[in-house]
Amino acid sequence: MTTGCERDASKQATLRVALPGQPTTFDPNKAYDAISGQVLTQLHEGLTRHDKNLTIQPALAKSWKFNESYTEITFELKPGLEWSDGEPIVASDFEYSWKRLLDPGTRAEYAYFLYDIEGAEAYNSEKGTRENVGVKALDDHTLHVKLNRPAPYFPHIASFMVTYPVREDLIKLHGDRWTDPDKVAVSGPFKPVEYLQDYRMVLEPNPHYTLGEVRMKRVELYQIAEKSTALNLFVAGRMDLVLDMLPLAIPQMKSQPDYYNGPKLEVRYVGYRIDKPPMDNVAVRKALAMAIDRSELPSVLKGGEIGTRTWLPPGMFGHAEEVGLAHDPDKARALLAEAGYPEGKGFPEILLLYRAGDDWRLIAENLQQQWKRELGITIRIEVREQKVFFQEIDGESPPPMHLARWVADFPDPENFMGLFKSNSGNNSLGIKSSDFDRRVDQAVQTDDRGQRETLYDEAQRVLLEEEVAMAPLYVNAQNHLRNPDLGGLEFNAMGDLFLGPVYWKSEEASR
Amino acid sequence: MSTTMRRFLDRISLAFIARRLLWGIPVLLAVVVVSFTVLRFAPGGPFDREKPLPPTIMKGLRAQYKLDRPILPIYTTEAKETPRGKELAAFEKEYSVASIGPVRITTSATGAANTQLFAYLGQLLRGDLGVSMKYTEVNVNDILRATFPVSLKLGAVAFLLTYGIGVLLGVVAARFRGTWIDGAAMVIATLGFSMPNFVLGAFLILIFSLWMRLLPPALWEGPAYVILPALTLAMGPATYVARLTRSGVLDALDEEYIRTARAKGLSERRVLLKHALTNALGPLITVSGPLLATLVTGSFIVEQVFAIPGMGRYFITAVIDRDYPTVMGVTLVYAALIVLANIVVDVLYAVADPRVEE
Repeated sequence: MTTGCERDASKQATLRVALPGQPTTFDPNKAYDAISGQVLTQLHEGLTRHDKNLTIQPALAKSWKFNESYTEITFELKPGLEWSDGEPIVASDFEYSWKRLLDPGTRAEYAYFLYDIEGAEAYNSEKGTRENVGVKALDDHTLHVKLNRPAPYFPHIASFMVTYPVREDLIKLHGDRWTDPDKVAVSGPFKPVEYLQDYRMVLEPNPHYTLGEVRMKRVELYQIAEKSTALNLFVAGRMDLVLDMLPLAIPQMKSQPDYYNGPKLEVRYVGYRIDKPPMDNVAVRKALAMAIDRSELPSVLKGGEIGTRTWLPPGMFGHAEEVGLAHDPDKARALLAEAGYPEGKGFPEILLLYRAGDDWRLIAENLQQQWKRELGITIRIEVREQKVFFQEIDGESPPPMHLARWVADFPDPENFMGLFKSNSGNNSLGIKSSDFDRRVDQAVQTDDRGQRETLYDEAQRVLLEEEVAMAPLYVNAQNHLRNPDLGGLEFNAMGDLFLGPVYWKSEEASR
Repeated sequence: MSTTMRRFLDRISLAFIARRLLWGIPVLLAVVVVSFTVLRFAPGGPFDREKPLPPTIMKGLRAQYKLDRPILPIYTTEAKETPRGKELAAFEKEYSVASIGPVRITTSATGAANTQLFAYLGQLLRGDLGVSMKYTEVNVNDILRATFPVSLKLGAVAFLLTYGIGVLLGVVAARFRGTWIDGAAMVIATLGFSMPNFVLGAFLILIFSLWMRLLPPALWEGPAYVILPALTLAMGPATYVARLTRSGVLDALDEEYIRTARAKGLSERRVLLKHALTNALGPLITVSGPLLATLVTGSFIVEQVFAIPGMGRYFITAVIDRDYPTVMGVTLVYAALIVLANIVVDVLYAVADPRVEE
């Protein structure tokens, strides 16, 4: 197979990227999906950003400082920052953006992201006022944030797209249309010059950007939902970068220099509904978890996934390999017998629900086979359309088991562990454990890594070994195709895409 | 055009067309009411997301899009403690409602006007299709304005290809009835008819883009980008047209007037193209209307495979996303085109066959 190397030399200045679908919004505060994020990171900057090792780095902020108890943080902006229209970027742009994110009228899905800020949750849930939200621009360069509990991970939060600064004057002037290419002002390496609904966005360097040299003269971001189409375009030399490539083609592309495979902070798992029989019996939940051989899943899915029995994924601080229930079919059978179902006899034909999608189907089928083989039980698997699936698992009679995933919003254990706290809005499992909650809450009171690790280990053991509210399956992978002539392109496990530093190696050599 | 023909056209155009257009209104209304109702009662909603929205945000969104109101003026109550029950209770507090057993009926005119269906109909009368529930800053009018012309262009080319290829294949097959040429033409027709779009599309891309490197494999940048998708779109219907043409022409060849024409010494070519083909026109015109409407509103598969920014893909994606206003928008455009195309077909039919009168 030929590859994208045979590029047209005259096109060299343009970088053509295939995004795996359509962004839902270009408004940072309202964004919630990964594809919007892939566009927004080219247009905007946050206070901080992640490097390739997920270490937090300054972006628009020069530095930040916590108080001793980690309940206040002050960000200092870099000097001389400007929006793409030449206006200065000031701390009050952040104050406005964050309060707008929290404004219940904005209806932002990710408003809860800033709930660590004092008064934020109250304002967002219409119980408090805007004035009482603990974020304040002390002067043009200083942003002061009061937290309602210690949050040593807060600099991670300030890297997320929903916290990017936005311009109050433009939003007031243009309303919902302020993100149109001819109206918007941006803080990132590129500015939009053209947008065609359902097709592509064209970017050019932002002349007022000062955080680094932008080498691409023009970037075209195409929205290509069909993965085989993106592959065809790449093979025909008409795309330079394909994000989320067609899994079927991975074996074929594996040996090419065009192929990129890397880890992703996304864990897929079986969620149990632990409050209904037979799932209310912890022995049953354990038996189901221990019967699963995780190494089978990557061989079914073929995308470089990594089987895992822990909740905190490898590559993230807090990951501990030995936590969680190990694969042990004998023990699983014994547990099932103990629960009153020797050799699976009499076990009801319970439902495992999954959403539409080839990968989800493959997992469900594989688990069904494994449970039949190891435990002698029959699990019914059923598929639902996405929207129906989401409605059912949080509805009035949720299925006993469902397939779910968590994609990291920020690379700190708090983001994964907070999910299953009793008061979490994303907790679809019905687990309410004060032992778990207490440890997770304690773990953010300190920045001592050793102490945090211990607490997270304990909390994970409650979640995975005592309560057994779910069974982690595998860590997902990123699979991309990129023109080998591209330099400066780095992916981290968050899947962040930064095109600002990207350049053509051949052009650089001739320079 | 002869004067008799013109007089004939004038006659049908006034009464006939006007009446057919008027009939279109209740048809469209029925389409709107039925699809609106079915869609809203389908499980899953536009704001059911992987990460559930916080209750206040969900409440605000439902109010903004009027989803918190009863769908129809007649509805059944739900348990008061469910979120939906609370929403309905709030509605009933505002407007008068009569109850007959478990069934509630909105009795005030303003109450009825504020149910989801009537609010939508009122909005439609103002020409507003509403804001998308997935792309919440984009109006559906704007989505259609951007995507319909693309599908229209692609569909129009595909339509011409359909009839060009179809009639040619059909006439050739009829002319050489029973020979290997007939057989070959009908094999092509059967293949084209039975091969799904995505297979044909992939096949064409493989040959013309990846092997021969003659045409682009996807995207929408100019005339060269129309060829493969239009061909993919046209192949299925073209084979259908080929079969219709072949059987129409063959039927005619057995007729006496053909014998007369031949006896008069007309060339075989003229007999075939003028006399026999005219006989096949009726069914060809009949299918052209719905076919044109279907082709110009776009195809999900072809637009998806060739990454074309048309409106066809919304017939699927908007339903999956439960993006109610967008589903209604594309459905309305499709229905209106079907109605229009059928009127045009009836007129054409009358022109082609003088026996058809009012």
